[in-house]
Amino acid sequence: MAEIRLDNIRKTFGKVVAVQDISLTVPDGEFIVLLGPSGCGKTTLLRCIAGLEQVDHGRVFIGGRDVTGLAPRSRDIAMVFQSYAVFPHMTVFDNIAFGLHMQKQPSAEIKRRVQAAAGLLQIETLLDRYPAQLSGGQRQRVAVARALVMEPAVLLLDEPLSNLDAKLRLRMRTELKRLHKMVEYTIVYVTHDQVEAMSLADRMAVMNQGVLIQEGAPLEIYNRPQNVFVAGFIGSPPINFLKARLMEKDGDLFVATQDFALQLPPDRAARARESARSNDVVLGIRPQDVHELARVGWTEGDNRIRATVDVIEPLGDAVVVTVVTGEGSLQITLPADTRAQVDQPLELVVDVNRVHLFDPQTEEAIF
Amino acid sequence: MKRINLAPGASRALVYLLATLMALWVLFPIYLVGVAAFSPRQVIYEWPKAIVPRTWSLETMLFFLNSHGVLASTRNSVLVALITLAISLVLGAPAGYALARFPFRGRDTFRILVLSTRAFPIVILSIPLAVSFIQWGMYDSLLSVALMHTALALPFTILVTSSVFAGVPYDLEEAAMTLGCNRLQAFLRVALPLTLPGLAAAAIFTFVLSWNEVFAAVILTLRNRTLPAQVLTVLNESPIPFRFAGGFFMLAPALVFIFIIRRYLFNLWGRVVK
Repeated sequence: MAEIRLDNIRKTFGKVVAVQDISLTVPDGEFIVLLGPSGCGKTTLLRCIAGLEQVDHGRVFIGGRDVTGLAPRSRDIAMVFQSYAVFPHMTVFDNIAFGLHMQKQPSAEIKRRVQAAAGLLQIETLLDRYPAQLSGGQRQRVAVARALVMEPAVLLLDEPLSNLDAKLRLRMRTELKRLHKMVEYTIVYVTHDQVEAMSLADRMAVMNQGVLIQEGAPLEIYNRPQNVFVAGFIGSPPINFLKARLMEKDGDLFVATQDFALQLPPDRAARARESARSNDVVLGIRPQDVHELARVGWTEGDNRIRATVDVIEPLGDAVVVTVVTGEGSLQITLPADTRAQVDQPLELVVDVNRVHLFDPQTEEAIF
Repeated sequence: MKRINLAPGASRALVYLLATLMALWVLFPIYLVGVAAFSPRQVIYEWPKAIVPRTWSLETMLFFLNSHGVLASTRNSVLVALITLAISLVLGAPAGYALARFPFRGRDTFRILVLSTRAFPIVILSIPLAVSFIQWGMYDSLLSVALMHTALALPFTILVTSSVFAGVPYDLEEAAMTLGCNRLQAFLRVALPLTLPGLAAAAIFTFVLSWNEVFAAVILTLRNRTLPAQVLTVLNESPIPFRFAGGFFMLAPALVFIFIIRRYLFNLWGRVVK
């Protein structure tokens, strides 16, 4: 168990900057998720922590110790690879015991610890098998057990669930979270799946093009995205972005798209007046923040949209509805028992306390 | 092009027929050589020949083995093949590993360059080589033949071992490194055991390559002949049974080895050619 501190980490491959001057502190025992699209440098950053990549500059501290120049084996880490990297020529037992053998632990101790790790991951019955005789899910458990048995200061996981089928992925997700509750290791977890990230993380670090864009608790990032990229990357279905203008009318501030205008509540209006550099803005509306007028009833302020239903996609517990608002369209989620019907008009209410405004030039959030 | 439509059974039968013909084309002479090598002398001269031999005898084979120079040249051949195998593996396997693992600058050029060494016909190289070896005082030595064979085998060894190593995901070695291994230990404990069969196949193939090679061996030696060189030299003044026995004796080990490693050869060539 240990804190990880990354100090200005940079890693380049030829001319490509994979990780650009990232500083990040992961407190002892935290489950942090590095999230970003493929190629954003999250795996490279993880490999820099592991010591599988040498950083160009910057320092890596694990448990207060500078490990920047050290080999992976001297860093007190363990890693689960995306491919699992289970050794095909060894039994499950020998796979899990591999690291302990390298440490020259006495064989009774090895046996005890392998049994314990196998028990934790419910693979005690598979110890004599070879990896070729295991399913993908079982191999994944072997890889996790092999890492856990080392009792490392830091556990690194590189997209460990991405090779599992959807159902198994959900189950392992829950198990990983339970595992973290039990072992309380510091865990760095890399994924491109925002749902996986939100559900697992104590804290998320969102990356794009080698840069750390925003870090924080999952809900904090969901509710207050720092820029267009984060807002667009997190949330499903994705947030709606609309070109809009800020307009004053009788002392109220409206944000107007080509199809509709929303009246901003006073506190938000004040923030917009203060921070917006011009009247042009990008309006971000999450699908979950639009409701049916018929269900909400009367609303205060001017925040209604007249729309026509284009497509309805039932998900079981909800429906995703694509509505045409005139020139543009919106994707919204409504409860499963919605009265919306294809090609019929639908009156909508936008929760203006939850919409986002962004500067179109810098793409930074105004709120 | 107009496609000829055959019933699936018929086209399958055609494939088998062609395959059988091609196999016979290769196997029938081998069979005849084998039969002749184990027939008594007078049977070899008989005509017409019986397809299935009625009499067996070790006489012809023993005659060949006891001929002057055969045992010595066999010993030479084995020695040369072993030295070739050792040098090509020691030089070629690390090169193959580097090709498979490290994206170094000029890797693709290197790959082509390695192959291009085989583009020079040995016939053209032979005289300058013989001259050079004479000047260096290395003429007529087994080591020079082995060096020559190494030069011939090395491109093959490099490319094949590189595909053998490429077949083992680097993840596995990295995983070993996070579990307490240094680079060398990771290689020895994970990559090597997994590539051993493939490396053995490459080694055997190198051995066979050297065992069968005759041209360089003839050019570079005078008294210390390898078996193919020896047989070739005395071929014209030898009796027919000697030729059959010699042919079989040289053929057999190559056949056996190739048979053992055929599974790997299919894999390897498939990957090397891409």
